[in-house]
Amino acid sequence: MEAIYSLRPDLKLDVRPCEDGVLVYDNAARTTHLIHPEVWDFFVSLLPTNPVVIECDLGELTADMPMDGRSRVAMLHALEHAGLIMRC
Amino acid sequence: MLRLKDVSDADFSHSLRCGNFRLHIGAFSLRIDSNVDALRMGLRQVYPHYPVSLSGGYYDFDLAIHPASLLRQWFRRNVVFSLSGQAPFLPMVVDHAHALFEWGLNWTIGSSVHQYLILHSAVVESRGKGVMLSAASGSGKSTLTAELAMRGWRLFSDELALIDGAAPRLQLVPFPRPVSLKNQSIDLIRRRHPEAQFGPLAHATQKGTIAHLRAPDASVDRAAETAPPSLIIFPKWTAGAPLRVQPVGAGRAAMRLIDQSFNYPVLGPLGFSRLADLAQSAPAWEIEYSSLDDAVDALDDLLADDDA
Repeated sequence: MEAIYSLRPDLKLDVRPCEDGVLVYDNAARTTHLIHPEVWDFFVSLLPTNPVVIECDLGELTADMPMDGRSRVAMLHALEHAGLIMRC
Repeated sequence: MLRLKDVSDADFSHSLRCGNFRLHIGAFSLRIDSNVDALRMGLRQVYPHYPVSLSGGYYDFDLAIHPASLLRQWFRRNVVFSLSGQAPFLPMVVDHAHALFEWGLNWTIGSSVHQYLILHSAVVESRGKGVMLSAASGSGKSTLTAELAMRGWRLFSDELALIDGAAPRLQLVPFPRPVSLKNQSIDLIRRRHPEAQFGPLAHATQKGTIAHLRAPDASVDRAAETAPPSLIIFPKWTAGAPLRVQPVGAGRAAMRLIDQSFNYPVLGPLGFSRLADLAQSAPAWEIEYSSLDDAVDALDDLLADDDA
């Protein structure tokens, strides 16, 4: 069983790392999220670079994610809930 | 500088009725137009030390309190608040005219002054350090603010934190106004500080009985002096609870402050930048208490730790 996610195409984020998470401002949706550090690290691992501000022109990234554990699923759901990734 | 306490009743009344009255609070000048005696008496009680003008002049906001209609003036005795001729609220009984003015002014600032990030938070200052007390209504925020003000802490606001600039020059901007107290808090502050001066009581409002504690004169005099935010406090009064002081991470503090913001969504990325600067520059703490003395001691200790 697998699900395929992609970055939301219009994503442009302002990011502030804090000791208890990463504050993320979604410029397109005008929403703010506090992302758990592990979830953020996972999100960044999906990206070709690790910029402070992720510009939308980084392009769509498709991650083919096997659901190989509860923690990974929970991380995907957290990112999906924040609107940073979406199911294809 | 002319202060309201130096103005005769006749001149004050005439100026209010003619629309020439200006009340200066911190960085803002208000044009106040009213023929409602209850408002005039309320302003007299809680704004005596504020600079005023009686002959017009520049203003930032055009506020009025008038009878809702000719019929209501005599029959229901209701009054209505307006900003630039628009009435955002339903009419209220004339006895609540002063409370309506204070609520209307909060709404005016919160919905208009977008050069600042505005959070629903009391702000006080001690030893040059700004302390924000952020909490939802009913948490005891205003009571604690009143206690601190009566103990000599400088009052910036009991309702609106105005945040200007960016790190490392982030500043809290004073807007010293009367502290709104509800129900038992009124008697509590009266008992603890018999010298405290209040405006008129507004009974049977949606929040119960309301009274406004006059801001200390020293806070009014220093309304142009900003202060850097040094502590963010999330106070919570709980009957019988022992004192509990717990750190709150910057990320969680930022998210809690967003919940208490007036104009964060309006400011977009600028609001995020300013809020993140705030959360990262001022440590945040949650304080649960049942004793005002314990809460004040805890705040003193936290400020002293910040000094060290």
